[in-house]
Amino acid sequence: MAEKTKEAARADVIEFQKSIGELREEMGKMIVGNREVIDGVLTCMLAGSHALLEGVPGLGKTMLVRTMAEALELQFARVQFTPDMMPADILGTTVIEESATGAKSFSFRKGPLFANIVLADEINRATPKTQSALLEAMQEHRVTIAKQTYVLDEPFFVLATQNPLESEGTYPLPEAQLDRFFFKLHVPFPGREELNEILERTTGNVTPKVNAVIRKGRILEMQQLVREVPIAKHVQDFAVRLLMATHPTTPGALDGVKRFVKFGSSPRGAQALLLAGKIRALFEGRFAASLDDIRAVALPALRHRVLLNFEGEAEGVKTDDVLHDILKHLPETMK
Amino acid sequence: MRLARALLVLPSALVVALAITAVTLAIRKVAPDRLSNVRAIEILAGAAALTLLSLVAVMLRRLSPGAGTIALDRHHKLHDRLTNALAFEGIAPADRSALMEVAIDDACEHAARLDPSKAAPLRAPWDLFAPLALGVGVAALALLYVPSAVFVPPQAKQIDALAMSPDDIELFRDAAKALERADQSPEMKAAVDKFNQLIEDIANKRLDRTEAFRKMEAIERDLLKGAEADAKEFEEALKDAAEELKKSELSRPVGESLEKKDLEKAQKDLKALAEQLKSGKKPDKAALDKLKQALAKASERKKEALAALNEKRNEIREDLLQKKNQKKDDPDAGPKNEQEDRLLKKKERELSRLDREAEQKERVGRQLERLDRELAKAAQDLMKDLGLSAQDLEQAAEDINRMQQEQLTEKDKEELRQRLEELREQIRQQGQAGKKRMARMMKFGKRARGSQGKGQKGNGEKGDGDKGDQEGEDQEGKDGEGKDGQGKDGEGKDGQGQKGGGKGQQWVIGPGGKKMLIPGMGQGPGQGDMPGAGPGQGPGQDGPGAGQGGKEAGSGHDGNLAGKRTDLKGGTTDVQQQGLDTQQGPSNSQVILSAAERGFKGTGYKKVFKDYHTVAEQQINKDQVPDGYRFYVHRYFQLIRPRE
Repeated sequence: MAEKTKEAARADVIEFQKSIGELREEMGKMIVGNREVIDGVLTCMLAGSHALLEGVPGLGKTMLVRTMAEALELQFARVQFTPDMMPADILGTTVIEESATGAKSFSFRKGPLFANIVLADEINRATPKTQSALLEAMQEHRVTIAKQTYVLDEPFFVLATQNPLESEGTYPLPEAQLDRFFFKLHVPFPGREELNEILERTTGNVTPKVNAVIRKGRILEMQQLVREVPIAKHVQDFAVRLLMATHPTTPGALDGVKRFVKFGSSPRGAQALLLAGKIRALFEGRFAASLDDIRAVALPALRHRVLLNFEGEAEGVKTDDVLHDILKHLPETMK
Repeated sequence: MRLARALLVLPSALVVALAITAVTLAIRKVAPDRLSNVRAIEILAGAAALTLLSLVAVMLRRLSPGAGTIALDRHHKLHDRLTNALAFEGIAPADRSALMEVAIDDACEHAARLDPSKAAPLRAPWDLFAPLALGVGVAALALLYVPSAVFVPPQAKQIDALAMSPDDIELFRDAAKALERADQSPEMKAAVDKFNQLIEDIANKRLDRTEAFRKMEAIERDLLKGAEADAKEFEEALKDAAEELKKSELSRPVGESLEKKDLEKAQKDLKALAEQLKSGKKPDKAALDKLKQALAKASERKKEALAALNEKRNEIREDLLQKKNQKKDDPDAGPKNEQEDRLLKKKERELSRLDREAEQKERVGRQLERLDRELAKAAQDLMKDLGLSAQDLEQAAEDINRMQQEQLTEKDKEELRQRLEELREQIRQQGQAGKKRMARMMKFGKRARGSQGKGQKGNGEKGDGDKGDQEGEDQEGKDGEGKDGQGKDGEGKDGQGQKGGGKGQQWVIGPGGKKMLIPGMGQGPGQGDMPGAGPGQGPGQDGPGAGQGGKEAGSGHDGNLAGKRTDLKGGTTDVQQQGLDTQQGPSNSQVILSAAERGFKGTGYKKVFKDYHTVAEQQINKDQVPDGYRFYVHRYFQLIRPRE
């Protein structure tokens, strides 16, 4: 049985890697570059969590999510948040419906949230009330309206975006809400070659078509496999020490952390590190997460969970710098 | 891996050790007295040990768990396959998941190509340049020469030390030793000690000429404090007493002894007189009367003399006072005043002289006070009780004994003073002669001890025969004439060596600065000639006198002696005594020749020397020999004295 399980496990990992490969390839038809962002988004999805994308408008964030939805044959919904948006706008509302016989009844019309993949554009523009409605649904995977609970269809994946340029008239997500996002991904401006590629693809008369390569059921299996990936003690310990190192009150904390960090990451950060490390190992066809996997996912997993103090913000320190510093000085193993 | 870890620590450890080395070297270079060589080496060794210890400590430190597999994973880019596999291997098989098993299998698949040596390579640390640079600096510092400040102690002031030949130094040492006696007065002992110290200082070259003369003068001053004057005055007083005592038959022997200054005999005669008085053989009354008078007058004579002297002093003092008062009253006397001043000064000088004389008489009076008292008492008791008188006379004899001891001290003083005079003269002449004379004296001293066995032929070369303290070199002793026994450079310096007088005679400045006529070579005492040419003896080669250093005893004598022929007036009887020549032992001439060749050593030579020296001393004392001659005769016999 163990032998069989081993083979099956090995096959599962191989299949996983193959599936991801196909998915990347399919998405690559529409999306140029942004490999890290794609992997990050996929990681978040496979972890059963959500991602926060930050980038200037026009970088293909919507395209990315839409393409992913098409490749995964999942239902996609896009919500453009505005300050006047109400929770019902995203959750759904109850309407009065008249039947053929003329009988009137209330009927709940599901909002965009009831898709598998939801793109919440400029989430920081919505009011906190609307934000919290979304975030609650993200956490619970269900919606309660008029005493009626509606379970969201799995897989449920929210991709929220933030525009780093406009801060006027916005409602930055509170730390507690930010912590619910698995990753915070920075969408970089494309390079010259990538831009040329984008222009060729998008301004020509040929529009590539994205085919579905992974079914819904497969995604769930993949999500299950992720949970089965083992973590060695030293890797887990490394993730824990990394998390602890983000706290200024930890003994032996770096000077930069003590000086610029107000609060370190919550335990959700460690969960994100380990899950993301496992997923990354699977992406590469390995059977266990490594220290390098943890290092690789440390920034997207923790950058939105470490809060800088006033001095850090005044000095213009970025959380990424702090995390880089921690990773540089953190020993791989402890005696 | 441990070695690699040690290599990482090596630069830091080396920097510390080299820094310590640099500081140590710097201190040794700049201030070596603050850090001894031994301590510096200890510090360097400690630094090296510290480096080694730190490396060893780092190597021995426990490696983190999985460090080896992590290094392998890193090197082979296995993404912790090995480390994970090892971790999963530690889990019980029942608890392992399928993926764990697969992970283990996966790691095993990669294990075949593992290369641990490459996984933990030894790399030279990148920051090794710092200790290298520091090492170069330390090496440069070690090679750097820093002139150290050498403390030069202040040099003692150099003096032109007075040099004297060892032979002469020994001579004066012996003289000082001879002067030492346990029963000497403290004053005499102090003087002898000072003289000893002076000789030792000269021997150790601690004195220059000026200082030596100063010390001699100081010693002489102490010795001469009233001594000469007192001695003469004392003799005068004794003579006066002797005159009176001779007037009585009973005390005539005492008087005669005192007149001859033979205090020992006078003491015995006085004791004999006392015995006679005690014996019960009472002399006749007339004799006793005469004795009484003699004793009384003997005790009072000097008092009368002193009284007369004091009276004269008082007269002159009053006269002076009167004249001074007159002068005060009449200051404007003019030329007449000058004459008066001269007279006043003359009177003052006269008064000073009388004061000195009175002082001397008083000193002598103190010396003779007890004797006078005993003699007076004896005279008084003579009429009462002969026994008492005899006791008084015995007391007087004891007083004479005491005075004799004091005279002995005076004798010693005189002898010491003579030694000082000799020393002074030697130093003076030595200073004039120069180094050549010193070299000759040195050689002569060696030969006198027998270190050089050369026969000396009176050629006077190289200091040979340069006995008479004549300066310069004398060479031509060959024909007994030489150059007046004078040296080349000795002539004319201080008036010495002046050619004059008769043939071969010269005027020289002798001791005390007195001029004296020195006969030429081959004639007088071997001045400038070698030993063996004693007075009245010549080398035998060229006739009388010498300069040659004869192989035989001379047969002639110098006819140019300054003194008169000895005129023995004693009631002597000429006896002819012929010695029996048993042909045993060497003759005097042989002994002398042997001494000349092999040094003045041996019992035979001692005897011969003593005989000739005794005769010479007698002749000097008897005859009117000028001081200069006496000095050179003494010097001659000093130089040829027997050596140990």
